[in-house]
Amino acid sequence: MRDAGWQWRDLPTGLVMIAPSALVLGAFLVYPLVKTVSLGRQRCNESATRCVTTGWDQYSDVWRSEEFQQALWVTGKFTLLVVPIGLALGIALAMLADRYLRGIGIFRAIFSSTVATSVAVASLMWFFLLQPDVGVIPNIGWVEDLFGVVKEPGLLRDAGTALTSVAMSSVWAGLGFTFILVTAGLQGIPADLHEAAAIDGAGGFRRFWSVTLPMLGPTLLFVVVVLTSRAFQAYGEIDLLTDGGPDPQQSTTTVTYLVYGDSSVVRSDAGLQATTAVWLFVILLVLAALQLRGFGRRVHYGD
Amino acid sequence: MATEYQGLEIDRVTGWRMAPRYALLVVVSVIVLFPVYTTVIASLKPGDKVLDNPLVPDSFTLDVLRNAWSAATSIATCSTAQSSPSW
Repeated sequence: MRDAGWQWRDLPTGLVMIAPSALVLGAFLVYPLVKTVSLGRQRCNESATRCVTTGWDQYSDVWRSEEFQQALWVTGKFTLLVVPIGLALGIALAMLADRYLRGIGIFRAIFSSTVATSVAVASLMWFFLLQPDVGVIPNIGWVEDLFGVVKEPGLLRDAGTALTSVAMSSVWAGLGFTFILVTAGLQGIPADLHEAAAIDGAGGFRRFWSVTLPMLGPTLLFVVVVLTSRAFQAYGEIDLLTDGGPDPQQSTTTVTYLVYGDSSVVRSDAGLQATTAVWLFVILLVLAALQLRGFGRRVHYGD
Repeated sequence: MATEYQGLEIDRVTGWRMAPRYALLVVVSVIVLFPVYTTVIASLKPGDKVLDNPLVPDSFTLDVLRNAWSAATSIATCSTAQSSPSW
């Protein structure tokens, strides 16, 4: 066992060695976080040059406000649309492409191609598809006849369909990411497990349910945590497709859009923006911890 | 030399039994590529023809792409010539 004196002698060297990491973490993570938490106690102008301290009550005031509760509800709905659908489609595509077929590499490239598309480009494509005046889908005759809402008022302008439309664009943009990760997970499953199950008489679905899904556990846990976090932080697609609207319901104003969106009610107050941002951070932290603890126990790591 | 992953022996299908699987792969690929397809087709049409048969690549032109390229170049030139962007 090492004696304490020897450890104390190593302290300066240790401090010098961790100093670069500590400096970077302090400057780019801890300081902005502390500054934002502190700013969240104040009411300010837009550039935060003139602030008045209102105290910690501002956090509970923002939490209880109608705008925040509405944004949280919209964010929850958006997440519940994007995460399960994105995950199910990603798994389905990966299963479909996890076969020995001539030219399967081309299909894998197509399925993973959306990962190379930025949020701005993906949103622009979906805007070009859905916007009633210039959009492709609303201007296809039979679609317009069958679903009037695509043209008047338009999927992105109707309060009932705007969030689903934005979620659809988000699912499409995230499909490549899920596909690549699940494909990698599938290829890491030992073939003999499937073969043993097949010899025992398990059919395709049984093997998927009892071998593939449990063995994909760690991958799926990671994908769920990342997709949830992304859905909570979704901003670009909302800003570009609906601008938080349609008014007056604000049916696509998520918490992230409430923090920074052009039409957000807290846009002109850096203090309220900081309060909202801190709440978003806390919610994401709690959600990630719950997911890791809740699902983590059920995940099989193969050891 | 590394060999390509070839899937499970028990899942390997041959002959005509591959047709439905290929059909499904093609349908899903079309759905995944549809937004990209419509955007590319629109970029290859004159501005006033974009909404005429939006899914069909008729009245082909490269002018839109050429204009976008030159506009982007002039914006880039402006923004490097001045300290702040001009738009």
